[in-house]
Amino acid sequence: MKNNIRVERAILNITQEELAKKIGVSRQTINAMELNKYVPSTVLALKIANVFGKKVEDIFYLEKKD
Amino acid sequence: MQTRYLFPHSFKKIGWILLIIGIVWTLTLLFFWHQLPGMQLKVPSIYSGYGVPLLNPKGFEYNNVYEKVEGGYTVVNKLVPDRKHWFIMLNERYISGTLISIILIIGAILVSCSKEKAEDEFIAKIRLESLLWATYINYLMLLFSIIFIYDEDFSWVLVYNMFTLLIIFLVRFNFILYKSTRATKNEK
Repeated sequence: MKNNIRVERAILNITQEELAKKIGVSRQTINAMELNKYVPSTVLALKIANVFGKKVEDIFYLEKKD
Repeated sequence: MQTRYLFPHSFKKIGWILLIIGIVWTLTLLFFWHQLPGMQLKVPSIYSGYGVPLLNPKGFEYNNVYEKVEGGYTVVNKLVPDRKHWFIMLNERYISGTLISIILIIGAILVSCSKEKAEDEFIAKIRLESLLWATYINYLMLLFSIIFIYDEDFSWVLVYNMFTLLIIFLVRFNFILYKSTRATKNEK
């Protein structure tokens, strides 16, 4: 699974730290997601989509190998 | 998702203090055991192998016991474990080993099982993966020792093995945590 959290973050102009605080996770988690090293839970995915004011599908999308 | 069954973050500090005391005490005993006075105290024990007759005939007594023979049973007067000595008893014991084990185990559990400052689902994943990883490594090392180490030396392997699982877990968990923290330093 891939995501465009980094792009969305750039649009809102917030840092990893700020995003982490908004959704109540550690900064490591945001970074690991942006590097595609961690697939978040549904709850976390929904929270992230909420912050960016978009649908989950607009931020997270499947790859061929999934 | 939060990991359940974890201690509050503040317990981690207490854990580290206990763990460090335990490790320093262990090292002191390993290197200077012949210079230190043994700490003795009268303590209760619920089981004692005291009773092995060759090592200590006192733990055994002659008693009438039933023994199976062809066609029934017969009474034999035999050396059997003296229950009074075998089970619950108060005795002078060296207790430094006991104290060190308690301190090390409680310390290692508190350090391993206390929440991180920002415990979340990613850290929970690292935590569980590290525990699995540590279990594999620990039992691989134990298998290796079972095959290549014998007798009294092996009993020392078992002593160390009481703590290795948690120690390996701690090393691996903190290493991965450190790596992912360092990775965030390059980002904005």
